[in-house]
Formats: sequence, C-alpha cells, structure tokens
Amino acid sequence: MSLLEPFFANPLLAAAGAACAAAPVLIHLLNRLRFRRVKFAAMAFLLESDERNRRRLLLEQILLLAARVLLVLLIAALLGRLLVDPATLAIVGQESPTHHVYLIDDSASMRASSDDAGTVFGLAEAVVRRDLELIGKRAAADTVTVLTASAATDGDAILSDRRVEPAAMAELESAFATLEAGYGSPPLPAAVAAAAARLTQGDGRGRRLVVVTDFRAVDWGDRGGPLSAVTEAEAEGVSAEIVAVGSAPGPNLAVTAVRGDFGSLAADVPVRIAVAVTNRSAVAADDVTVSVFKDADRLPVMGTVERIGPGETAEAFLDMAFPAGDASTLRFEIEADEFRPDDTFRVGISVPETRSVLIVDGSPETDAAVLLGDALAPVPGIAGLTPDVITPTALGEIDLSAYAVVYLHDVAEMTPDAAERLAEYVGKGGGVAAIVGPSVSGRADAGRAIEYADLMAAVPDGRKVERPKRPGDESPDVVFAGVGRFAPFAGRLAEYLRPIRVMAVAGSSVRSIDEGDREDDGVADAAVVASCPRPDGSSDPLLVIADAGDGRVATLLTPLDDRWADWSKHFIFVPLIHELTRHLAGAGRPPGVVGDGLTVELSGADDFEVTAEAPDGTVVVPDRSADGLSASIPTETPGRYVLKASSDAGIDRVVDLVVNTPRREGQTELAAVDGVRDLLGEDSSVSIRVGSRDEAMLGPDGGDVTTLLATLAVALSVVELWTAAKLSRHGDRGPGLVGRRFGRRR
Amino acid sequence: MSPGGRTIPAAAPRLEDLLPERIARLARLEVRAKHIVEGVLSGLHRSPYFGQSIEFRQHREYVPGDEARNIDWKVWSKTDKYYVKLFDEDTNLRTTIVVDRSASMAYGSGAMTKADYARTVAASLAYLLIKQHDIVGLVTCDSEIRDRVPHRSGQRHLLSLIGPLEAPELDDDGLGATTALGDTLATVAEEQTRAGIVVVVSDLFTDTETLFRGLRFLRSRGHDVVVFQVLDDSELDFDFVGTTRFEGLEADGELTCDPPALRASYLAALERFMESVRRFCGANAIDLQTIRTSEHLDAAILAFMKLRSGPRR
Repeated sequence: MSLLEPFFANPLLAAAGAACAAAPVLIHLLNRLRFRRVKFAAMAFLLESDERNRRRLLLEQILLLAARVLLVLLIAALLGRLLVDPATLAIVGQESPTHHVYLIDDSASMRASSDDAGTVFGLAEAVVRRDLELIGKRAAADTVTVLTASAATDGDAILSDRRVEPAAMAELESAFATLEAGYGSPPLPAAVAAAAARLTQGDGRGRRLVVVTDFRAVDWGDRGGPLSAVTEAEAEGVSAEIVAVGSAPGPNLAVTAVRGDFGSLAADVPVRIAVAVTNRSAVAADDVTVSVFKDADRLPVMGTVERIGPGETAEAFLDMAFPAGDASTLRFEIEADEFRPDDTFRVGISVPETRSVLIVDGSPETDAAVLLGDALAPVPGIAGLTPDVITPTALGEIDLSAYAVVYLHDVAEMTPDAAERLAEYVGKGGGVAAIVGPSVSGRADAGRAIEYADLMAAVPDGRKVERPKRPGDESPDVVFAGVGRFAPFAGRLAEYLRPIRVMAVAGSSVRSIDEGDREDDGVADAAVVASCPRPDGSSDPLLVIADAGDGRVATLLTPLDDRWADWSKHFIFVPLIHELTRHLAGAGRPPGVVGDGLTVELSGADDFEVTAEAPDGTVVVPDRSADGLSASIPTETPGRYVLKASSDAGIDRVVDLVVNTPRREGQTELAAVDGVRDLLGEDSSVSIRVGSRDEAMLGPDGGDVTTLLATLAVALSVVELWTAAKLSRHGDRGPGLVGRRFGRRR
Repeated sequence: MSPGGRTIPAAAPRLEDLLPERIARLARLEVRAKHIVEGVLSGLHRSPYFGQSIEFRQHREYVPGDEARNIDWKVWSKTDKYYVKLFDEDTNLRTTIVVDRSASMAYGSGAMTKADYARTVAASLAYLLIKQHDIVGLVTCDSEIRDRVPHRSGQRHLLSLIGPLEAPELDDDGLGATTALGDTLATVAEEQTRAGIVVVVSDLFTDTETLFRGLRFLRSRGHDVVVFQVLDDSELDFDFVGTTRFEGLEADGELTCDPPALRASYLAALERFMESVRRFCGANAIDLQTIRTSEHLDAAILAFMKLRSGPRR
C-alpha cells in the first residue's frame, strides 16, 4: 500500500481498483473455458475462415482485453484520485540519499487570501508538509532543511539537515503553528543563494532545492532576481524546483502614496492630504472610500474616489487640521480586499504649535529679513511659522534640526563648518532657500567662493544682469512655469504677478545634473519654476528648485532689495513665499517600509539606556552595535517604532519611524509559467510546479487531470464498445447465403 | 392412425402441411412421400404442367409384349409395319436417385436434419415418378455405395425404394463416414449404360474435384443430371453466438471460437464453394437447386417438375 500512497489520495481504492484490473482477463479466460459444443458439417469452411483471420482476431481480442483492463485501471485511478504530481515524481526520481532544502517565500504578498488554506503562505506550508511526508516514506536516508526567505540569509532554519522523523515533523508542525508570512520584502535572490549554499557539494548526496513561492511577476518575471539565483544553483549541480502556490489575484486596491505638507505641519493649520489609490485588478472599482485613523482613533473625515479603472491610480483629497501634540501615526485605509497589507498606508506626523523658520540675513543694512519674516508670519500663529533671524556668523552655532526651512538672504560667506552643517541639514531632509543678492552677484568668483554653492539649485556666476524696461512695456517681469505646486502662479494667480518689477537678477547657471553626478553631491534635477522674460524671447531664471539628499533647495536670483526688485512689496509675495516654504519643508520624514530597521546613534562617552517600542505598544530590547555607538531594532510589521536613548548625563535621544508594507508586495500578478520557462531556456532542468497537492489531481504543469482521466475513460469505453461490437458483429450483413433465392415461403 | 398418433387428413394436404416441422411428425417415409406429392399435385390443377406428359411424342417399332391397343393402325395401313404410339407418360422415364447419407448429412438445427430432409425429398420424387409409371432406381452412399435398388416401375417397387431410405439414422455422435459422392456418381455412370435422369440429393460437402469428375462422367454418358444441394439454415446463415466449439461431423477437426467474429469469412468461403459448384453445373448443363432444410418440402418436387418440363439438353 505504501507504494501507492505517493501517487494516490485514496490508495486503498486505487489498490482495489488495480486488483479489479485482472477481472477482464479472468472473464475472458472463463469465457474461453465455458463453451457449447456443436457438431458441424461445414467444418472445412470454418477452418479455412479461422486460418485466414487468426492474426486479426487475435489482435482484436488483445485490443479489446487491453481496453477493458485500461478502463478498469482508469476508473481505479479516478476513484483513487491519481496524483500526477511533479513533486512526487521529482522526489521519487531523486538519487539516494538526497538533501532537500525547502525555501519558503514569506514575503508580504504571501499573505494574500486563499480559499484552501487561509493564505497563500498556508498553501506553501501544506506543500512542504506533504512533500516531507513523501520524503519520509522513502527508504533512502534523505534529509531536509526548511527555512524561510526572511531568515535564510541570517542562517536560521526551521529544520536543518534533518531526517524526516516524527520528532522533526513535530518541530515543523510546531513552527508552522506560529509561523506566518511577514510584511516585508525579504531579498529572495539572496535567500535562494543562501538556501542553495546549504546543499553541501561533494558529500555524495543528491542535492535538491525547492523554492515555494507565490510566483509573482514582479519577482520572477525577468532573468534577474531569484530566477538568476536558481539558475546559478542549477549550474552548481543542484536539482532546482520552483513551486508556485499563488493563485490569480482577485480584486485588489492599494493605497500607494499619501502626499501632504507634513513637514510644515503646525497646530490647527489646514493641510490638504492626497491619498493615492491604485486599482491592481482587472475590473474598475467604484466609490472607493478612504478612512483616516490617528493612532487608534478614527477621524471624522473621509475621502472618496468615484471610479478607478483597471491599473489606474486616482487620488482622494482630504483637508485636515490637527491639534498640537506629540508624534503620532496617521493611518489611511480603504476597504479590505484579498490582499490586506496594501489596504493601509501609514504616515508619521508631529504637530508643534509652530514651525520655526531660520532667516540668515546677509544684508543687515536692508530690511529684507524683516520683510521676509513678515511674509512668513504676517499674523502670529495664523501660518504656524515662527521666523528667527540671525547673521551668517551665527549659523555655525545653531542646531538647524529645529528649523523647518532655512532662508539665506544675500549670504556670500559662511564658515566651512556652517556650510557643512547646512549640507548635513539638507541631506537629512531640511529645506534651504538661497536668495541671491548684491553680495553674491558682485563677486567675480562667486561660483567657487560661495561655501554652500554645492547646495544651490542655480549657481551664481557673479554677474548682475540689468533688466531695463522700455516705457509702455506692459509685459510681466515674472512668469511662472506650471510646475507642481507652483502651477497656480502660472494660472489664476498670474495676473497678481504682473505689477512686479524686476530690475536686475543675478546671472547664474542652472544645474543640470545627470544621475551619476547626483550620487556625488546629492543635488538633482534643478527646475526653473519662475523666470524673467526678455523682449528677445529669452529669459533669466528667477526661482530654481531642486532636490538634495532627503531635502530640497531653492535659489531665488533676485533679493528683497528695491534696487533689484520690488516683489516683496506686493501681496502675492506672501503666498509665494509660503508655498516655497511648504515645498522646502517637504513631507517631513517619509515613512519607511518593513525591514528598514530603526537605529539611534549614541555617543561613546556616555552610558545610554536604550528602550524601544513596537507598533503594538510592546517594549522590545534593541540590539547594540559592537562598538556601542548605535542601537537598532528591526521593523517587521507595519506601524510606528520608537527608540529612546537616555544617558546619565541627561542626554535624551528619541527617534521614531513609521513603516508600511512595501508597495511592490501589492503587485500580486503572477508570472506566466511558460514565460519563465522561456527565460530559463530549453537547456534548463529547473522545473516549475504549479499549485499544491492539496488541490485535486494535478498534471505535470499543474492542470487538473480528473478531466483528462475521465475523457480517456470515455474514449476507452468507445474503443471497447466498438471493438466488442466489431468482434460480435463480423459479417452481420443480412440473412447469410441462399437467403430467399429458392422460394422460401415462411 | 399414424405411429405418431396423427390422423392423416382424408382431403388433400394444404400448403402449410408441407412445412418440415409438420412433415417431420410423419414417421413413415412412404406416408410422407404420398402426403407431399398429393399436396403438390392438388396444387397443380391450375398448373400448366398438368397433362403435358400424356401428349403424343413419337412412334417406335412394336416389340412382343407391347399392348395391342397402342399399335397405330393408321401407320400399319400405310407401311404394313407395326408401330406403337408413345406418349410422354409412357416414355418409361428412367430415373436414378442418388442420396448422400454421409456423416455431414446428419447435421440439422431445425425440425429435420439434412439427411432426413434428403431422404424425404428422395422418397417424394420416387413416389411421383412411380405414380407417373416411370422407372426408378436408388443408390445411397457415404464413403462408398451402401444401397442399390435396381430400376423398376410399379407401386410395389416404391416400397423397395423407400426401404433403404428408412434405414436407421447414423449414430448420435455422427462421426465416421466421409463423403465419396464423386466416386459413387462415377460408378453410377459406369453401371447405367442407358441414358436417363440422375437425381443427386446431397450437401455436396466432399472433394469438389472428385465430385465434378463424377458429374462430368454422368453427363458424358448422356444422363440428365439434377442436383439438389440440401443445406441447413445454420450452415447458410452461421448465426451462432457465444463461445462455441465446433466439431467436424466427418472427423475433420474442431475449432473453438467466437462465431460472430468468423461469420463473414465463413460465409465468404462457403459462397466461394457454392459459386464454384454453380459455375460447374452451369457449364455442364446440370440442374442445380440449393434447398434450405427449412423450406417447404414441395419445393424440391416442384423444382424437379419444372426442370423436367423444360427443353431437354
């Protein structure tokens, strides 16, 4: 019976059916023994007929007998639920003994719902469980290793090179009882390589690697990634197999992004938040609502998107204001679907009473700093901004992290230390606006002499470009391009810009930096947001912005100086400077993704006590680095993590991070098996098994063979009936010879 | 009362009374013959055959013993010689009936075996011929000639003809005597120097070469030959079903088979044989009739009368 068990879900029925296969032969033999005797006169003709037809009749009899035996066997296979399972065949076909390594993909996408086992990860567990049972029945001294993708590179395994014995199976079940797919994107290629590395070469054992995965196109759809690692394992002589347990995705909406001026958020200051929802299913979604939670509390706002087409992304807009408070988490949710991890997007916010803006005044002889400060905070509290004005020399002594944005007005020089701190500030997400004035543009070596030039979106070249205007020329001096959030100034607000007079701008060269250079100085893709047109059709850049590191920089190429421009005298300057401030303040610290980890830097001189808080409120013990200069915790589930370090010297450091499930995990579209086979090439022996053995009877490529077997049974029945009829009706062509030729009158 | 307890109807038998199933109930062959022939003749009152045989055919010279009333006195008055007038009924038809009684004739799937049918046909022909004042002789044979009844006429001769035909049937197992019909016919041809009619009643399951030689021999001696090939329904239709072991009646082997599977081929082989017989008979002016043992028993008599009414060859 054990011989049949690997191949039949109901081996008893299969065995009984197989035994019945002898019935047609027995019946045939019995029929040959049971006959009636007839004394016959025309024997000569009968013997002649037999002589002529003996071979044909023998073949027909054999065909009939074979059809009947096969028919019984097919019925037995149907009743016994034949498992034409590549895994079974692969395991049975292995050399002995063999080390089997099972790598289970535990990425977030494996949390997708499955009718059979709760989640796709449950299906993966079922595959491993059944395969191990099968391996355990082999007489060979096979061993198994079972590990998850997230732990493979760390060297952790559920079972490590173990014989499949009851104790090992108990350990497996115990682990499976608590194990579930994670929320992150473990590095599958590295995990596959680590799993393959466990298959020791040269120990005389067969080596088999099985990757159990949901087989998403985003992972397996190209030659790179895990497919490359599998191919490399195959090249090392490993028998590799991919088991695809994922099912075709159903309706799946995902919150893919949340945009908002969280970096300039202040108490009771309205903010517009855009929630992007992507429809990853094949049918349109109607009336998608977005709910908002602040920590555990549901907020009384809701965004709606009327319709999102297949593959499209739409935004729901929510206008909100928050009271002052400590750091908290905003959670944006849509209705749960088959893949829940991407139905939620978390953003960490911190809402101070006001945000401080630093103004470094390089031209104290003018009232530019005052004008700028008044523009930023025309009425105390209303904009949530508090300007602080300092001189360039004081810049090196200030903790820039306390400021949302730093304005440098006509600052030509600063200490290298201040420039370095400024660069560090921008690199960590800060925003700097450099307003170029006489002290900068008057220098012949401006581009090289300005210490912070590397942070400028447009680097002054030392020229002062005069802009004379002919009498009667009514053309605007300031024209905005329809770029991002500044688009309104190019549209409905453009008429308010028309009265502005720009007499001179600083000559500059706008940065145009390719991706390679971006890594060098962290500044990229400068964009001219506003410019001053000339009569000849050319224009002088006026406002240039760029991203730098995690922060943003802007360059205004005319100062708040009446001799250069009168724009600070016009009311449009206020919304313009606020829009620029919000842009530079950014979205605050962007949320991370599961797996990023959270680290707090410590100083070696102090003895820090570090505690950490997980999203569910539990306290976890951080890992300290060997040199004691940092402590970190893993971020394995979505939510907000907090690390607090305090020293005896009274130094307190608190860092937090909100993490989400990586958005790519929501891309649950499966890779096409044939396509992946094509990628592997004809010479590859890597096999791909589709589905799990928990499903019904599977064919070599995962298809259900029930229909195939039933069809074969019907076909064989037809053959059997046809052959039997042919054998029993030979010459049934009428009444025989001399029918009515001779006056038969009956 | 007949031995079978059946009362022979006083009136002429009806057509259905000539079915083999009914005839088989009549135990005595003589009674069967009379029953059949009377049935046939009663049906011939409307037949064109009736009366033809009493028409004038020819003259022959008077020999002592001829009845004086048959002398044609008109011829005598013109030629001064005595001639007697001969009519058809008085041509002293000389008929030899050869009946095959080999083992193969013992086969029968219906009311009558082929042998039973054959001897009934032979007796009926003898009755008819004797009734017409013809001279009739009989030969029965299997592997050799078993009985010879010399040619004579008259009612008493009928009993001597029927006697050998009523000889006991073959053993139940039927095995034994093979057919040497060809040699028998050759012997008959040699012995019957005077031309006449030779009626052969057989299944013809014998060596065709010898058979054809014997028939050809008869024709070469001027005999008119009529062959009644008697075959059973099962031989002609081969409608057996189920696994069957066929055992040859003339010890010519056995075969276990599924009959439907062999039916077409068997019928083809039988047809080839019958076709060869038909061709031979056609080529040698031999009248051939194949009779099923399920046919009415008057069929052979009517066929014979029809054949005899046609032009002589």
